[in-house]
Amino acid sequence: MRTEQPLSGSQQIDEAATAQEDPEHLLDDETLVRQAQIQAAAFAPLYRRYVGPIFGYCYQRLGSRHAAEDATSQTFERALAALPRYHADSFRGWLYTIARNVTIDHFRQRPQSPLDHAWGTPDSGPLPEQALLEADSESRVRRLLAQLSNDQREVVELDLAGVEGPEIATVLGRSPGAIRAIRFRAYSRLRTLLSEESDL
Amino acid sequence: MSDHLTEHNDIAETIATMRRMYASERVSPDPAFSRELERRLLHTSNAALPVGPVRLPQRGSAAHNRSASIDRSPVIGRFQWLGLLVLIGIVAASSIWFVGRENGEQRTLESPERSASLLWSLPSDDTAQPEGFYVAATNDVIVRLKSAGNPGFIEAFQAETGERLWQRDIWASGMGASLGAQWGTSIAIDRERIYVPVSPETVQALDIATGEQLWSTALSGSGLSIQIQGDNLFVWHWDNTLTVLDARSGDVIWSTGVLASPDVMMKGPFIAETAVLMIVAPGELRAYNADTGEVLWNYVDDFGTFNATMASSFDERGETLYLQWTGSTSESNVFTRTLIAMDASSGTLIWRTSFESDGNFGLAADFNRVYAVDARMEDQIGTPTTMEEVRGRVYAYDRTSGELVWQSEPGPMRVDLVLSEGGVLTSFGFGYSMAVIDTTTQQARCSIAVQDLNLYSNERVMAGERMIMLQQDGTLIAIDPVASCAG
Repeated sequence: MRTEQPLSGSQQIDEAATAQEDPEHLLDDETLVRQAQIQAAAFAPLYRRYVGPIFGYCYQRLGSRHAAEDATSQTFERALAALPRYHADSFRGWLYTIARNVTIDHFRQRPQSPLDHAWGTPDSGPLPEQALLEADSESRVRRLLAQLSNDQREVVELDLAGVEGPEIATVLGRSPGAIRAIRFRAYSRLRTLLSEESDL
Repeated sequence: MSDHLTEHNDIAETIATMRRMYASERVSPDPAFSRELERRLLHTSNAALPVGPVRLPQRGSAAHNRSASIDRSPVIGRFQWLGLLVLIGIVAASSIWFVGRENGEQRTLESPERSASLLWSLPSDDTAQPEGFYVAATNDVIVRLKSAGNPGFIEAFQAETGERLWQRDIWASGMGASLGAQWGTSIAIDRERIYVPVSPETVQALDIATGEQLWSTALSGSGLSIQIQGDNLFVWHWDNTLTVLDARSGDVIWSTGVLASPDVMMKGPFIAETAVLMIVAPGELRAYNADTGEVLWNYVDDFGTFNATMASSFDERGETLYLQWTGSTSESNVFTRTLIAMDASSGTLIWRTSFESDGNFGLAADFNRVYAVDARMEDQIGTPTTMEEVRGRVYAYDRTSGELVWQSEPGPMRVDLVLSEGGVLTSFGFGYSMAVIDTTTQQARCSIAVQDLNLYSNERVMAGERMIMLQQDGTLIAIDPVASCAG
């Protein structure tokens, strides 16, 4: 386990070089971030570490490979551009915050349905359940998540992506206690839904 | 296996099932896409990036500070008259409580009596002046404050073993707890820091791991009691000022004068995640935005004589406050002897139920239930009683609807409540015994004799599943209520 110690300039460059030579080197996120803040090439290990999970998260929310690729690209572009300003407790939580915002932008940019206008809610925010229902109907996970509330679905999506509780709280701008409550209710609901499925 | 454990196992199995399904359905990015994106990212960003990080403005800086203006108009902000009329109609029907009792399933507190299973005991080093002790806890750390006989001291212990982590002298004011309200404490604690008033005007934050001082903030005013909620540290001055500090830095976020009269100083603030409620004057309840100090709503009515306490909310948005109001029947009003659920940010009443407390109150809440107690003489309601004559009950309400779910038989005690995260509710009879109730199965596990313990009435905290009790002479005692029931 590496400890979080300030790095000297040469040490920073050396470690950045090591990370470049061995992308699978098990440096922790925060060390890699510090290196990438100095040398952009050191962002590669972070990218390789998270491109799969971020793509999976975006796919889960958007329901199409094309949209997920677009969102993944935007997520990493925004992350790299914002990296000099990075000052968070968790890089993973920070990255998923960006990814979530990108997917929300995607929902907002979708063509509005007549129903949106009828209700006078042209900017009503994300409606991922709609995308979920329109997406690959064979995905059992997506079908189950579509039956949760917005809050519950967002928490479970991040939970399944491997994001930890305090990070989920950061991503969603909620307290850890609220996330625990939502997560508990979400999985209670999913338990019921799974039980109903098995009874059919 | 208990129902409680079964439920948790079911949830764990559900999580595992969902993860298996997610893994099996998970879609990976096309390798060509991944390579191309990496090339594009690193090709367009191959110049050295500015050395960072660039710090964002700190909350609590001048740009973020503001004082709330006080709306003195006698208005009922968003607490709707219509809601009140409905409420009064409900009161007139007088049916909530009794319907609840008919529908509620009675559970008896009669259960085997056990002796307390002692985990560890920590006498105080200071036997010369054994008074002025306070206790606070996280799941992992216990903190004991000695404020009397300044300089007093503060010390931290491992919750599991009782091993002392550190100790330091401190000039603690020790004034807050004399307020007697749930809010009025001389020490506040979270996972990282300990907050303690060190003089009538100054609050200090200490590192919970080392005891080192992190910040010290001097405030105008005198007599401080404190409470932490998230990153907001609420400081109540006895000279009628409410100040909110950034718990991380000690910076003042906002401060406001509240014209509370002495007889209402002990009633609040009541804090939700988004709003803080103050009884700002007799009959006047006001809600502030917890982060900005903005007045959200103001309610003015003739409350009469009342006390109130609250339980921290665990609802999804952290906005619901549960307030228990007591008072004498001779001065009854719409709030007298009621338990209400209120949306703190809007003042909207969610539900209300009444009970018959003669002044004893206590609340606790978990995901599903709100637990409340009352205590009275069984045969002579409203008549002054001696402690031995008081009979206490525990009630569990559905937190969403307010429906009475179960109630205990009256126990030989005046009770208050401590709820653990694991769902164990201890109903504590002052000087008599402690009932241990499994909130999932709604069954009393046992009662634990505590007659031999010389306890402060209100100084019990949970550290995980351990109950930490403070004796009059400063000795800390840790017991495991569930293990005690197992004998």
